[in-house]
Amino acid sequence: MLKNGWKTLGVLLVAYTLWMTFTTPLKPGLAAVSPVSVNTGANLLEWSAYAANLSDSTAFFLTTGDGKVVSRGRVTHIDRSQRATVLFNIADTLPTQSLDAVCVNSIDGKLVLPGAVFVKNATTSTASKWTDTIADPHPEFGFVFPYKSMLYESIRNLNFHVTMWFALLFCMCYSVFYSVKNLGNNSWQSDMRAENGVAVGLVFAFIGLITGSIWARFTWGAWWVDDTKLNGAAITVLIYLAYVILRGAINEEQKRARISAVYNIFAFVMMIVFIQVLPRMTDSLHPGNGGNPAFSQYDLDDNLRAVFYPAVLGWILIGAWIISIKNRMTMVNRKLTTHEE
Amino acid sequence: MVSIIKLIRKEMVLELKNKAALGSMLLYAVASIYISYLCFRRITDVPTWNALFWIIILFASFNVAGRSFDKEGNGREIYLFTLLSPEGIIIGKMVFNALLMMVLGFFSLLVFVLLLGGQVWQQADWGMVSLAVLMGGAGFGLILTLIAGIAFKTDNHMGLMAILGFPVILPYLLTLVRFSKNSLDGIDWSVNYPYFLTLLLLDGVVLVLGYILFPYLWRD
Amino acid sequence: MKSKTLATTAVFVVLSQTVLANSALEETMFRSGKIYTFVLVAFLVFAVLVGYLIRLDRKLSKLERELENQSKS
Repeated sequence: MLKNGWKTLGVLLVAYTLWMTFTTPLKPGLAAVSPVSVNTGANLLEWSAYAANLSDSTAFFLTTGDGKVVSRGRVTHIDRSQRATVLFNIADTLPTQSLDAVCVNSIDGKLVLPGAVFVKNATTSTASKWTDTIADPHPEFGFVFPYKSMLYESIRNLNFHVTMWFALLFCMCYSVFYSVKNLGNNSWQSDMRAENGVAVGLVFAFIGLITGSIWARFTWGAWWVDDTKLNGAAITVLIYLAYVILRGAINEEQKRARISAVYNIFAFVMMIVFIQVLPRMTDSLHPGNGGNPAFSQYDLDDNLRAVFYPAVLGWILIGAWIISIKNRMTMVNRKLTTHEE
Repeated sequence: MVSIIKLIRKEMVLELKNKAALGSMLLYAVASIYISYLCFRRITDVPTWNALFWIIILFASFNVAGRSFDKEGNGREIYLFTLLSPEGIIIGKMVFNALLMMVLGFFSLLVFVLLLGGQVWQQADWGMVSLAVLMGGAGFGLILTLIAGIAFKTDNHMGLMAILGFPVILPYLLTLVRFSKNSLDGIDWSVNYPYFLTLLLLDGVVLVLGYILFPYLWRD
Repeated sequence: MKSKTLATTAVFVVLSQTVLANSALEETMFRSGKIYTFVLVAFLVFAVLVGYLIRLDRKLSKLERELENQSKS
C-alpha cells in the first residue's frame, strides 16, 4: 500500500484539482465601460460587469489612478445585474485624462477597471481639489478564483494547461538525470529511463501545445503568437523529436545510449539557460514578464494557489506513474527478447 | 593547453592547404548572397536584411561544421588522436571552427553590404555590428562543432546534423538576431548589452559542455 | 501504426481549425465568460492522456500474448 502511496496521492490531487477547478466560482469584476473615449460634460456610460450584483444601491464613480473621486454617476438603467447605464458629469479640469472606473456595493465590494475612460478635451491640473476616496465594504466571498479581464472563466485553464508544462519539466529532468547516470555507469536501465522520460514528456508537450493554442486563440486572438514562452515550448518539442530521431539512427545499443545521452544533456542545458535568461529581457504575453495585462504568476491569488500547487504535484505524479509503467513494460519486453535468443 | 594551440595550428594548416574546402565555403556564401541579390535587388528594411544575413550565415555554417569530422576516418588521424586527449581535440576543433566562422561572417558581411545595399547602415553602430558578427561566428562554430561530433557517430551524418543542430542553435540564433538588429538600429549599448552577455554565457556553457561531454562521444 | 497516429493528428488539427473558425462555434467559445474555452482545454487534456493510455494498454496486451506464446512453446 505504502509502496504505491504516491500513485494514490497523484490521483487524489488530480481529483481535487478537477473538483475545485470546476466548482469554484469566480469573483465578480468589471469587464468594460463604453465608450472608452469621451468629452467633458454630461456622458451616458454603459458599464458591463461579470458575475456581479449591480443594483440601485450600487454607487458608480470615475476616479484617478490613486483612487480620488472625480465624478459620481447617476444610474439610469440596470439590466440583469450585469449591465448598467450611468450618467456622468465630467468637469473641464481633471487631475489626469485617463480615469479608472469603480463601482461599489455591499455584495461585490469594490470593483475597479483601471484606465477605463479617456477624457479627450479635458485640461489637466495638479491642484488638489479631488480628495474624496471610496471605502471598500470588504464583503466575505468564501472560496473564489480571482477575476481577470480578458480571461474570465478561462483562468481555470491554469490548472490544466500550465501544469502540463510543469509535468513536462519533470519528465525532462528525470530523463537528463538518467542520461548523466548512463554516462557514468553505462547501464541499459538508465538509458531506458532516459528514453521513457522523453517519450512521456512529448505527450505532455503535445497536450500543452494544443491546449495553449486554443487558450491563446480565445484570449489573444491567434492560434500561435510570437512569445518567449512559446518559442521555448517549440524548441523543447523540436529537441525531443530530434532525440527520438537520433536514437533511431544508431543501431548499436551501447553507442546509442551514450550518444543520445550526450545530446540530451547538451540540449537540456542550452534550453534551461535560454528559458531562464531570455524572458527576463523581453516582454511576454505570459505571466511574470513585461507589461502583461493578464495575470502575474508572482501575484497569483491565494485561492488559485491553493489549487494550482496541488495540481502541479498531482500531474507530476501522474507523469511519474506513466513513466514507471513504460519502464516496467520495457523491462518485460527485454526479458522476452533476450529469452528468445 | 599547449596541445590545444598546436591542434588549432594543425587544423589551420590542413584547412588552408585544402584550398578547395575553404573556397567552397566562401563560394557557398557568395552564391547564396548573389541569389538573394537577384531576388531582392536592394533591401531597405532592417529586420529583413538582418534575418536574411543570419540565415545565410547559418546555412553556410552548417555546411562547414558538418565537414569538421570528415577527415577523422583515415589512419593517420586515428594515430594522431591516440596521442591527444579528447578534451584537446574538441576544444581545438571548436576554437578553430569559431575562428573560421568569424572569417566567413566578415566576408559575407562585406559581400552583403556591397550587393544588397548599405542604406540599412545609416543608423548602424559599426562596432556593435562587428561584435555581433564575431559572436555569431563564435556561437555557430562552437555549437555546430559539438553537434557535428554527435552526428558523425551516426550513419547518416549530414542529414542528422540539421535535425540535431536546429533546435539547439535556435536559442542562440534568436538572441543573436535581436542583438544584431539592435546594433543595426543603432540602439544604445546600455540597452543592448544584456543580449551580448547572454551570447557570451551561452558560448561559455557550450565550451564547458564540450569539454565534459566529448570524451564520452570519443570513447571507441 | 506511426503513420496512423500522424494521420489522425493531421485530421484532428485540420478539423479543429475549420470547426473552431466557424462563427457559431466561435461565439460559443466566448459565451458565458469563456467557460467553454476551459471545458475544451480540460477535455483535451483528458482525451489525449486517455488516448495515450489506450495505446500503452495495447502494447502491454501484445507483450502478454508474446509471453504466453513463449511459455507454451
